[in-house]
Amino acid sequence: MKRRSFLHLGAAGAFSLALPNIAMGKNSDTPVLILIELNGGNDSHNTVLDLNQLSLYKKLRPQLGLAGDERVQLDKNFALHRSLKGFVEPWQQGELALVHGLGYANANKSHFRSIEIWDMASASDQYLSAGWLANVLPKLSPSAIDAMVFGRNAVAFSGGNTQHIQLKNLKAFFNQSKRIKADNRRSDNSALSYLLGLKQNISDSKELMMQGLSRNIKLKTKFPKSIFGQQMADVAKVIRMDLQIPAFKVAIGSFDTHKGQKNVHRRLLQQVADGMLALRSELQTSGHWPNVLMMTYSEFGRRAAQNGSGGCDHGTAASHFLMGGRVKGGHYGDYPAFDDLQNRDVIYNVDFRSMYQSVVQQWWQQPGFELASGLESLDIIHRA
Amino acid sequence: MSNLDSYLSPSRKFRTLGRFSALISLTLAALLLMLAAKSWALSTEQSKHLLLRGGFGAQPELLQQISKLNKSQAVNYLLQQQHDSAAVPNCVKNKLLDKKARRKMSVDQRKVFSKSLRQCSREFRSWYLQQLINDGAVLANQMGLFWHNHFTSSLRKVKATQLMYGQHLSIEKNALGSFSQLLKAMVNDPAMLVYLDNVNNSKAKPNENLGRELLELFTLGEGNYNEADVLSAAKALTGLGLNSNYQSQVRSRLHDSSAKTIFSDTTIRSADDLVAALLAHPQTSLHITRAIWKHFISAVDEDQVVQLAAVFARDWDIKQLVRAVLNSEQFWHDSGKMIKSPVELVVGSVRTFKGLDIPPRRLMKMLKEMGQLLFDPPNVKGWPKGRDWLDANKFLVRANLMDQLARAISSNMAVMGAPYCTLEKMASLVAISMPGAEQGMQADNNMAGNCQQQLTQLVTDPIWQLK
Repeated sequence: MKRRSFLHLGAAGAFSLALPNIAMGKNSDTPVLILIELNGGNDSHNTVLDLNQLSLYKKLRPQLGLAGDERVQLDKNFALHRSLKGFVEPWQQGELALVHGLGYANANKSHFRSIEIWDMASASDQYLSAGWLANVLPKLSPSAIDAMVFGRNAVAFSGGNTQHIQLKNLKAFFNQSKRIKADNRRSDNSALSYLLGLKQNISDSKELMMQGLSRNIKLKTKFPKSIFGQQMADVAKVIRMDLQIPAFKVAIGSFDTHKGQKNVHRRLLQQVADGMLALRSELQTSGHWPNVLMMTYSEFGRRAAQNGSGGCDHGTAASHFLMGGRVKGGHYGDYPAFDDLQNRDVIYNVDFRSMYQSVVQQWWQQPGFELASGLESLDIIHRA
Repeated sequence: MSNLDSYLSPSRKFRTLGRFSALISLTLAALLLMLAAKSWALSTEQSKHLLLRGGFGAQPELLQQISKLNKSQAVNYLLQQQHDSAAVPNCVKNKLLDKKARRKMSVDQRKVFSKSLRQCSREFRSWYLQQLINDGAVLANQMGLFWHNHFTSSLRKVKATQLMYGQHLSIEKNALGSFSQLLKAMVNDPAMLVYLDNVNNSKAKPNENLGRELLELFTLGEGNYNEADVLSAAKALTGLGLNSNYQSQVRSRLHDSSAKTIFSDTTIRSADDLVAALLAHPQTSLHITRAIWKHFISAVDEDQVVQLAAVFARDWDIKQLVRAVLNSEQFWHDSGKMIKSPVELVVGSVRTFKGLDIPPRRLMKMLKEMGQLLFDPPNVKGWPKGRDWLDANKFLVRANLMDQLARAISSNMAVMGAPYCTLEKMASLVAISMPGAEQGMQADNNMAGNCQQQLTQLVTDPIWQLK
């Protein structure tokens, strides 16, 4: 019942809000956030390097550490993994922000618990039931679907009134949803009611995508063939459909590199960079770029030191990226000090919820939004 | 005589009376027994509930078997079934090449070798699937899958089918046996040592993967230990690896035999000490009891879990624990409130519709698409559980597979046919009745031509995915 009336409101909203945009053809009002989950715990020490700590870094990671030809200089003080060399251009354009030392107090090193903490924006010992975007999105947009999740893990959007759809890719979704019909049965049985709800979301999404598809969008950029690359192509396509969907999520992994890390990590970071840069190029051409923001996250960083198996174990604080047409480029937070370890781990200095909160406050202009009392925000977005 | 008569008569009278009353009480007793038997025997609803949760679906012949039993008899019946195992594929028993021989291989030889490993993995998975479909010991197989999902290892990482088969045998042996023995076997299990990198865990270069997961997932549960405990556990496990014959062995050169403190006051040195410390920790029995409860019942009753865990910790008898869970009040009031796993959906469908002809390869593909490739959980936490099996994407996958199943039913109607074609039979196959569908069914009940259509409707409806 609630859901129906909600959708109804949505439809009314669509009439008043969306129409002028569609008439203009481009630049939907609703700013778009794309979450990129680096699943498994990305080794941030080998992703972003603090050149001022190079000698300590080499000592901690004699074999695992990146040599001169395995990295690319970003500015005077920092270098990136060579796979990310394509990030230098957006950095120079001021479209890339690096947030260092992201984490939370009493870091949990379980993959499952820690990603839940990041997805629900909770404290380490706080058990919440809804994702950090579970109740934010519906008020931002008139769309019947608030978020599209490509691949694993929709927890950030689950447990509230956000309507989301999870899919592998658009083509498979269209093929498979052909025969799904609207089903208005209700049930007191919560398991059955869950199944019927999924069925309903599929049928709503199908309708929405059919509308978008009628615009017959042809991508102008060549996206990489990797699964991640193709999912980023689909995200770009849906953004170009101007359906007013405020959030997307794509996941790539596994970054859980306990063993033989170097090759895997190089390949994964390359896929991340290629996918993100292709999306940027496509949406620059189409004119959507000023309205698009990409943000990476991961359950944790990794130990400062290498382990004995050519990899590294679960750690704590990490650097992450924000890239977008209206990002205030630069460094935020401090790169953790390698000579100040706690139980062999680097110490965080920016609560990851500060990054989230800043995005909701500044990107979606919800100044009253707060994830924890007294939590500071970063000034990280240019006003439209 | 008369004297005697008169003397005897009261007693004779009494005797007659006695006989009469004995007859009455016998009759009464018989009546009571009949009544009792009637009220104790399982209803169809209860039988199918037990089979949907404790087995793989309400297959008609099993339904028949347990229909005359009462609840605890039926639970015992399922607990007592012995495996009838088919021979495992030959490749699984081949001797594994030792490391030296593998190092000497040329590039081409290595390719052939990897290909043969993958081929053997396929045969092995297919064997297990057939086992789940044909074996009468349904509850033992449910528990086998439960433990594979608890003590996770994956063929993708372990690669050697031989080692996974070894793990499978250990699990099968103790699936309804002793948890303490199972835990010990798993900590020393070659496939596990490879899967969680303990083969690389040495005094000089500790790798804490196995130590951490042992605490987080296999025994205590998240939140019941600290980082110092993980480190001590990892150190106790150093040196526990494989010898050249792929058997587990402690290599003392690599083992850190120093005294380590765990759980703030217990001293451990070796892997055995660690297992003992884990079994002595009160959270272990709670964690395992809760997991088994959740496997069979949709909502956790924490008080009951605490009680059952206290009993479980005394002798670690898994069979006794499963029996208690299945005999609980909560279990019998939970029909249709859980979602079937892919294996339950596929194996259950094939077991329920005897004569359904779907090639094993297709069945394997279905499982893979739904996310439950046998012997290959997605990560160390195992396959999803409950509603986590489904998101919109997986719902679509399932919907398509159920369409395929419906087509297979349609084309096999001639073989399977009539046994399913009454309203009663159809209702006995699904967990709950289809909302709004009874009327249509009732009206068409006698029209044999519509049976096919109704079965199709049945398996493509979301309720087919409930248990």
